[in-house]
Amino acid sequence: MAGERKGASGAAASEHTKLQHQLGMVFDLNKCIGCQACSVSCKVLWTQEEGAGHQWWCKVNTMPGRGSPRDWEQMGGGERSGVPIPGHLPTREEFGGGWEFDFERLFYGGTGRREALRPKAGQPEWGPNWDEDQGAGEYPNSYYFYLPRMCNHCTNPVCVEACPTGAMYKRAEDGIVVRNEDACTGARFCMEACPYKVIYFNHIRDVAQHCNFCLPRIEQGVAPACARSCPGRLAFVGNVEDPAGPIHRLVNEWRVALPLHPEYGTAPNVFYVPPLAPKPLREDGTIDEGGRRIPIEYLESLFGPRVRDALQRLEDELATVRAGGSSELLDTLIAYEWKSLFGHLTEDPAKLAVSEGSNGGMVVEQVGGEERG
Amino acid sequence: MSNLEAVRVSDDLSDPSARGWERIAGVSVQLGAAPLADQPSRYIRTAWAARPYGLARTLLASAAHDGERLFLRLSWPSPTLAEGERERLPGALEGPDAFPDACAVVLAESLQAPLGRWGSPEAPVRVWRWAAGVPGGVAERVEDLLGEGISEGAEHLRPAPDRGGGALGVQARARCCGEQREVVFSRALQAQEGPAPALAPGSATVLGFALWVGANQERSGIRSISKAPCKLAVEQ
Repeated sequence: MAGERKGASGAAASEHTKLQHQLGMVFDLNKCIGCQACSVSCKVLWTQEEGAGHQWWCKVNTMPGRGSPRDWEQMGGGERSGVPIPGHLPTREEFGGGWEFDFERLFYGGTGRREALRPKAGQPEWGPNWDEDQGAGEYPNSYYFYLPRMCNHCTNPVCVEACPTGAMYKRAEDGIVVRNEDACTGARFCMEACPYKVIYFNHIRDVAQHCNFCLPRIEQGVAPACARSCPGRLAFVGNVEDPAGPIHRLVNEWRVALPLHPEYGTAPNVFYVPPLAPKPLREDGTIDEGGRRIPIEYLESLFGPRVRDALQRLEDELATVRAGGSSELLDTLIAYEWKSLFGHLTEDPAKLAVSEGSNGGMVVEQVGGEERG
Repeated sequence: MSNLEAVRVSDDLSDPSARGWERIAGVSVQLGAAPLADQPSRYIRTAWAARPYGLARTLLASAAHDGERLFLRLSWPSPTLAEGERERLPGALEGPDAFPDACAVVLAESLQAPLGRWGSPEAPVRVWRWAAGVPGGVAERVEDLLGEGISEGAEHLRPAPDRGGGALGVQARARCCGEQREVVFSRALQAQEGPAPALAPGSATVLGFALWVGANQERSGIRSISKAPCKLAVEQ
């Protein structure tokens, strides 16, 4: 957003801007296989520059887990009853990653048969997805699930309010929270204030950086790279307020998609269909059809008390289909038609680039960019 | 209000270790934490309400000119450099994440300008700001800024127009001397453009000062500011 200056007051912008639309996403956690295609497609597009090695604007954490940055759920931030909660400023060490490897020495220096490829700077102690697939519980009822995480482009963006320079603002046309990097001074109050800890510091450019919802793609009718590259078809994109769109229906009509940690007080616009998980086994090896493998208390701690109703709704719909009935909700979640995931954002970036003779300033997919069925 | 005279010298005093500084008396400037109410966002006011900041409480300012350039020297004991003290600061960050020690001089034409609040739209100020380099991170830098005050959600600072650029612009040289930081700002006399006081022999300018203790995560409006303005007179 270089060169774009949006008035003096970030706080005023967030409080007084009347949104024309609010873009949002729904991730169906029952379909996420933790393949990190979303993470990698985002990484390839946005965070390859120097100083961004540790940045993963979209990443998939294994839950339960300490996540990325390490123990982010204990770092504070957000708001309670309109009062900001002081937050911890996550460090590069807590994010982990961004390691540099001496490929040259191992691959071409003759040591490749004797040594393993290791980061140059010592032994890392944490990194993105460090606790992958560890989860919780005891065999045979151990459990985990995957949680894609990114900027929530909140309706109440505490990061915008916290910014002392007015560098951050919420776009009136689509509700995307963006940053004017020319006005950002690297003060990082946004990183403290954000309770989801999805803002990063680029120490080379002395600016904070975060997911911009693939804004250049959005402006050309293309869904964000994380959503388009997802092989599980679990990432829905669209205007939250569109009554015919999947986001509105999943969040407000069927009420099966919930914000992460609603108690943080920022009103996120990324929602999750909570995981049902397989039924637990009894000691004799039979299936406990009435039980839950993932403790409901844990899911409540993530998604709030409404998770009980959401799970019940999903189970009722599954029962209906198993009994020979039909379910528009389940059909929507299955996403028989790939493009049904993307609302009005169904343009193919590859075709746009070809038709313009260049990419026209738009960032196109480099992973899985071709049209699919 | 204290008085600071930029005495005429024949040496180049842009280096803080230059011997010529030993012959120039300085003025001790008392500092206090910038008011919490002046912080530009609700988050900052809440987060720092119970957290000590403005840890630098005093600096020594001295000034000189050689007929072409003004030299303004600031020195202060830095908790960031103090052995044992840094470790006691709960917010001390290491490596590229660290916040730098920094200092600023605020220049105004009159006492009407609110120096501690970076001026106002009616009474803009000039801000010369220096920040130390961060190991593995951003390099040492000096900025020449125009300030029009602090308001809810924004610090109104923008780069000053640089008519002369290069040698005419604001420069800074710094060194660490034990636990002491020493910084010399210099710039050509009469070279400033925009709403700023004339720096010329015979003129007088009002100064304010600010310091940031990087090891205490001080940055932006979280800083020490001078408790009273200082009058800078440039010797004929």
